[in-house]
Amino acid sequence: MKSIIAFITLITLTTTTWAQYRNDNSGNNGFPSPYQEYVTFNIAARYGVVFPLGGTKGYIDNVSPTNFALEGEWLFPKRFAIGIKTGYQYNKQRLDRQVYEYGDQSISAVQTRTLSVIPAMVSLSYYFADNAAALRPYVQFAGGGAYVDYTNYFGTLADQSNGFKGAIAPAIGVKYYGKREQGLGAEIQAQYQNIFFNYDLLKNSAPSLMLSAGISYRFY
Amino acid sequence: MNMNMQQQRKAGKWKLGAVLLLLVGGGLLSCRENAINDLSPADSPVYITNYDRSANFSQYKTFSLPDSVIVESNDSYTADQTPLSSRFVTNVANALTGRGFQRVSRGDSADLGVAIIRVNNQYTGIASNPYSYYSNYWGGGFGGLGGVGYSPYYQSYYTYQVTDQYWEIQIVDLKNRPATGTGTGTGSAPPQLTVIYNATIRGADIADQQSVDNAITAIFNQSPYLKAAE
Repeated sequence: MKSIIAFITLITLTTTTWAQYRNDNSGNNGFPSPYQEYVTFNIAARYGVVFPLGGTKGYIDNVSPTNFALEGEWLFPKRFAIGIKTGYQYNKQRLDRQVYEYGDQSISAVQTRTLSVIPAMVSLSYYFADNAAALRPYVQFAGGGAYVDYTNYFGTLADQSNGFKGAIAPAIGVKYYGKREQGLGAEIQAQYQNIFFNYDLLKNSAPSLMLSAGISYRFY
Repeated sequence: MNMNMQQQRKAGKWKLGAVLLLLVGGGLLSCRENAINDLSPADSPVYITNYDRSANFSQYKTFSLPDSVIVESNDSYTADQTPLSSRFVTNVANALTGRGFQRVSRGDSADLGVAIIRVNNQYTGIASNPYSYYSNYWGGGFGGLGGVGYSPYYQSYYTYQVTDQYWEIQIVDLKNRPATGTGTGTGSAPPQLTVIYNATIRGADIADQQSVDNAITAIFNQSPYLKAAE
């Protein structure tokens, strides 16, 4: 690391005109941004809406307005980042009284279908701009698991299944900080999430699309 | 020194993040708990019906239904007559009559025996032998049936066991009952009555007559096969 710093310092000091042309840290002293030299951090908290897809849609067919995402990342100088992400997703749908056939039984009930998800994933992101940039679009792939709680109420009786299941979540997004090296910024993200969970009315697996927006903060 | 402070600041930020996560997460986690808080009394009950797929309901013409209901409390059975239970009996009798069956007076011979049962069990897992209540329920016309056995045709039924109280309607086949005393050689084996129809009202206790009306209407609507021959 020292030799790299020495090298960069040497380059910066010897090729002054080039450095001035190259460095757009708005009147900075010519030293590179710490974001470009060290492992730095970013945390983000976002609110989101979730659109059910596939098997999830067969269980609950409406857009969820109650979702929250929390993400922490280690930003590496080479435009990629490793992170952890969690959050909370909740969706609910009430169906009018209907008769459902379960085996030989006919069950007449008002169903209240709920699905709660708490993801716990590791992410790998590639940014299309350096760590100090004002505008940082990225692609991300996250994998890990999610705690899923499927509770379908028949009237007041609960048909429940829960557990920690495998999950993947590729995403694209943009972080915008206003200007170079600024800490506080905004972020939007589109995330496809597929949890390998199925139970009764939720067939195959539980995919969904989450559109989220919130604040992002980088620091070192 | 400066470095140290910076590290402390960093740690502080992460702690703040963790606290925020716990607060927000904890608040949101209660969502599911509130999911059915807005359920109206009319939407709360669950009506579960089941019947013997091999039974031909058109072979029956008459049914016997006493004016009282059986109250099953753990292992004991008593008869009960309250305005609510009378409403049950009246509604079930009217519904069956509307489907072409004919009610007989107590003690007369009938094709079907209808039992309305109020279950007051205080524990989960009803695994006792709850069949002695048939002994005198349909009156003296079946005098020989004291201590009859009973064989449920279903296996999956007990999935919906809960600790609360519920109502149950059972219809047993009296027409095709085995003759009494013809045990299979052992002499002590009681004849078996077959339950051919079963309905339970779960999820919410029936508290007023309107609930009784709603329940019986729903139960018979989802049981179109309960029909006597024209």
